[in-house]
Amino acid sequence: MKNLFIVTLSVLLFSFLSAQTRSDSEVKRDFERGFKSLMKDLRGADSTTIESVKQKVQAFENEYQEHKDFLNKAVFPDGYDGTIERLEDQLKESIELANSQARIAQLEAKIGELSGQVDALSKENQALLAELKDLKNEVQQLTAKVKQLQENIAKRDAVVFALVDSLFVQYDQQKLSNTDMKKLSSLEKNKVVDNIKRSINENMAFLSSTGLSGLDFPKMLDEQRKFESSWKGVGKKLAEVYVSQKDRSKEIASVDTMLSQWRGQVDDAFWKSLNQLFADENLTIARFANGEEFYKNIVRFIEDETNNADNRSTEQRMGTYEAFAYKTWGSKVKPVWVPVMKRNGMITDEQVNDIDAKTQLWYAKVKPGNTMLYILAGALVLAILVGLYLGMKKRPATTE
Amino acid sequence: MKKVVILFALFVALIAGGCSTLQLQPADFSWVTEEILDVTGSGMVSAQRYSVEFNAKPLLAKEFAADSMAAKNTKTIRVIRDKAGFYFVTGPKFKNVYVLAQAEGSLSLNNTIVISPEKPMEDPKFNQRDSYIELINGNSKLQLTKAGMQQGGGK
Repeated sequence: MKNLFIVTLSVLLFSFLSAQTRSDSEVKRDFERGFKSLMKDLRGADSTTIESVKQKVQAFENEYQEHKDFLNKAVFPDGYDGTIERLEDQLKESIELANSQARIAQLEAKIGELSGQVDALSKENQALLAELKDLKNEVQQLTAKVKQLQENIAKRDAVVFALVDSLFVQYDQQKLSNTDMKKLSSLEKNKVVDNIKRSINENMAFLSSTGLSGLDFPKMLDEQRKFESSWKGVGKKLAEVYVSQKDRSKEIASVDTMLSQWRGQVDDAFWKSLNQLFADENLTIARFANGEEFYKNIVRFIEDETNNADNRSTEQRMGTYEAFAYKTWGSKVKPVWVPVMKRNGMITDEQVNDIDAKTQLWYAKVKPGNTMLYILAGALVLAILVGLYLGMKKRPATTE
Repeated sequence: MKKVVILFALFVALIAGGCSTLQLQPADFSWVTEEILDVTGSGMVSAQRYSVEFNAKPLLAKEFAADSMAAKNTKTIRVIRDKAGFYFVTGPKFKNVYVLAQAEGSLSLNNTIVISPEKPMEDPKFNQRDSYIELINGNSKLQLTKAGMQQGGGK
């Protein structure tokens, strides 16, 4: 304890004596050196060191404050005041620089982070694009497969019926009354009934497959009806041939059942798809499940829209009209669906014409008004009349 | 005779008037602080701030008369000028302070102030004060003028 006291006292005494014995020139020298050193520190300061340098500047100012008058005379050319001012200016500049550096560092960090995100997202996008490309290829492949399958099924159906027709034509031409056994053996050999059943099953399976678009359904309905029609001819003949074969007779009856099922499914899919076509354009047409309902509901919709046109804005009524007349009825239903419906007795020409006529009436109600045109025409007529009147009035009276 | 006396008086008055010197007063030649000057190999020292340069060799020879090595080893001297324009010169290992006056192309010794005849000064320093030059020698402070050490200046 005693030693510590002596050491402390010695240090204090030494400091006191050192301070006492420092000459003016040494004060000046130390001031100048201190200034240079601080300027160097300030110029090299960053956001992490600026605070400590600032404190050093403050301590420096305080230390030499007592020598201010002397230093103002001794330090050339700035003196104490000028030197401290330069120091303060540099301090301000360095603080601004340090703050900027801090902000720059933050921004750089942010940029780094964002760059990382951009890279990551770019990679992800690349992967997604590649995936999309694959999927696109898959979708294209799927669409192509569906098309191919549909064509193949149709071809096969045609071939099956062509085969049956050929068989019957061949035997009918031979006019052999005792050839029933031969017919049977040939039909069995060619698995005619099995192939027909298989065709129906495949058609039904195809109906529930993915990748079908709305426009496929009319074609499928056409196909079903064609098949049904062909079967009507062939089935009768087959029934006659198989009249003695109880098992085969049953199978032929089951073909009728299957065809009925298929018809039900195709019709269902056809109407659902057609309903969806209107729903996609937000057209509030009541649901229909057959040709008659279709016609009635469409007509009711058009009439409602025509009658309520005055209660809606021009934009609304034109939007609804265009959605029906151009986007559905005119561009899709009439060219693709209606021909199939007509062929299969679902709608008549009169009904189609009626819908067209009502659509025209609807347009007359929703088209933009011609009020301005009428006003302009009226104004023109009035101007002509006034001109004529004035012309006649100014004409001098003829003296006789 | 009377005429002669009058003419002589006029002649003296004319001569006296023609020979009177112009003086600019007051003048202050003081340096704010001492200058610590390096002694070159040739013995020259230079106070660049004041554009003063002189040869210190004769001074060192005088101080270290018996010790030429000490004179050679002296690397710095301290110089300050008082208000009147007298130069005060000393340095480490010096026992004296030399007072020099400016002359034509030279500095001439005006006074030698003996500070420490027995023990050379370790690190003497000058300070400019209002009416004197302060000499710090160790812990003591002395008040010097061109005439010598002022009374009560020692500590």
